[in-house]
Amino acid sequence: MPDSHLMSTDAFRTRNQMWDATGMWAWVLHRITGLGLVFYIILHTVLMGTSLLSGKEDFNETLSVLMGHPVFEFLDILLVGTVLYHGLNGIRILLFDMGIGVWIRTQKTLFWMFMGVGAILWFWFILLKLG
Amino acid sequence: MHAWTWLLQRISAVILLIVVGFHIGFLHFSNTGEPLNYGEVVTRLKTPILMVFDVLLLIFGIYHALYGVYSVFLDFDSGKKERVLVFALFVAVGVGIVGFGIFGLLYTAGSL
Amino acid sequence: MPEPLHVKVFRFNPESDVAPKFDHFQVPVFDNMAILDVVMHIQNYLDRSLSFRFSCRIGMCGSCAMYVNGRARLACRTQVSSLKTRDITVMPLPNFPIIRDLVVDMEPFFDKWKKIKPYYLPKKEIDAPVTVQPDSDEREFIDDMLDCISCGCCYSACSMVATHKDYLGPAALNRAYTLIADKRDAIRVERLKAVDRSYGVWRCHTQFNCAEVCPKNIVPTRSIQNLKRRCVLKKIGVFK
Repeated sequence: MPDSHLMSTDAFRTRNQMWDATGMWAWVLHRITGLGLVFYIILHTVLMGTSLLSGKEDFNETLSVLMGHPVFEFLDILLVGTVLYHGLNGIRILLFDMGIGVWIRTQKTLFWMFMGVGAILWFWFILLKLG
Repeated sequence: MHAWTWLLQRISAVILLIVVGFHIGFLHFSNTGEPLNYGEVVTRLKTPILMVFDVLLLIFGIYHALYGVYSVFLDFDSGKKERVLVFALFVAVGVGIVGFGIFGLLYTAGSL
Repeated sequence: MPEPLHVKVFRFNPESDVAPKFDHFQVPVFDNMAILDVVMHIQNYLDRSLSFRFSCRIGMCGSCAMYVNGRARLACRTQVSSLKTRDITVMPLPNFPIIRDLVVDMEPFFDKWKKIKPYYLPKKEIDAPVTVQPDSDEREFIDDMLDCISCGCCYSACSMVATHKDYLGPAALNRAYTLIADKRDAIRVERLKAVDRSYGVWRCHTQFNCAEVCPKNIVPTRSIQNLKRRCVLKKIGVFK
């Protein structure tokens, strides 16, 4: 009986986000860091390009602010953290694309393994920066 | 087309892992702690391998970035017309930034 | 007597209600009680108008999937004790249109199955029966993936399905893979074309939400990753 189709509605369709799942968080952070880096790479290219093109004095002045001011030092640490997360989780994704570790437990183990490596590298970077 | 752009996103990812690592490492650890000055940049850019690395970073970095944003856009419902328009816009922005960047690098190195 | 369960149930009848609401019930608990027992108790003794779908009660028909305490689960295979709480919230599966209470409209889900032609079509030129040996690698590889009971849990957990109405979803793509992986299949290239779309395999961002909730422990992500690789291999002429 094709005509006896039950009435259904999309209006109150519920939504679901798996906020308790590692894979979901890994992806959310990958997106956020990714979008942050897009913003940065464009800003960085335009800023470096314009200051290089506007000559020696301008460039040196810009760089002395970017590499001297404490706020930029802090932002630099943040940037490296962002790059480390996106890069290391990126390696995890590349492994999945090659068919490595695509199991529910393995993907979580991989995530925490890479995060461990990332934490060590970031800590090392902060020490170098402060030392 | 998606298969190609997806593959290129992965290839650029691998290239960026190497090039970005080098780029950040070089800036932070081959320096004396003083702010980088113009003369030093010119010297670096006159070294062919460093120039190649910067150009690679520019091309693959911008591709990876813009395709990333484009795939965020694709995750939401959109019409075919919108997709084509946004894609064209991204290509234009990408070509613009890469062109400007390469021009800046070559100009600084004195190759132009 | 152990403390009863405090059950919050999503109620909505599009023919008479303006908006959904939650009803609260106190349900006595017994040993090895499943969520299906909870909703059946409510329907039998507390509110006869509660609607939900179920059939086999042993996790093989895939009709009693519900959203229980923040996760899509099969009601018959989810023990109350496994939730480790007395407060239970039962809702219809997310990402599906609602028919009534806990009953969702599976139509969009199966429409997407139709797009990948979920049935095996043998190659015509083969006369003799072709077998895939049960102990061959090929067979073992898709074995787990064939367990799908199309309950819709993965579809409801996938955030890509939530944001894109055309995305085929984990179950249909998993099914497509089991057929594409079969050398005897006549339309595997055509099938691969059907999934090599923006709303096909390329929408998967390996979040593993589908695998997280699958009551059959399938990892649809695995099938989708394999499909992505085959799409690339097809483009460079390796997969025919």
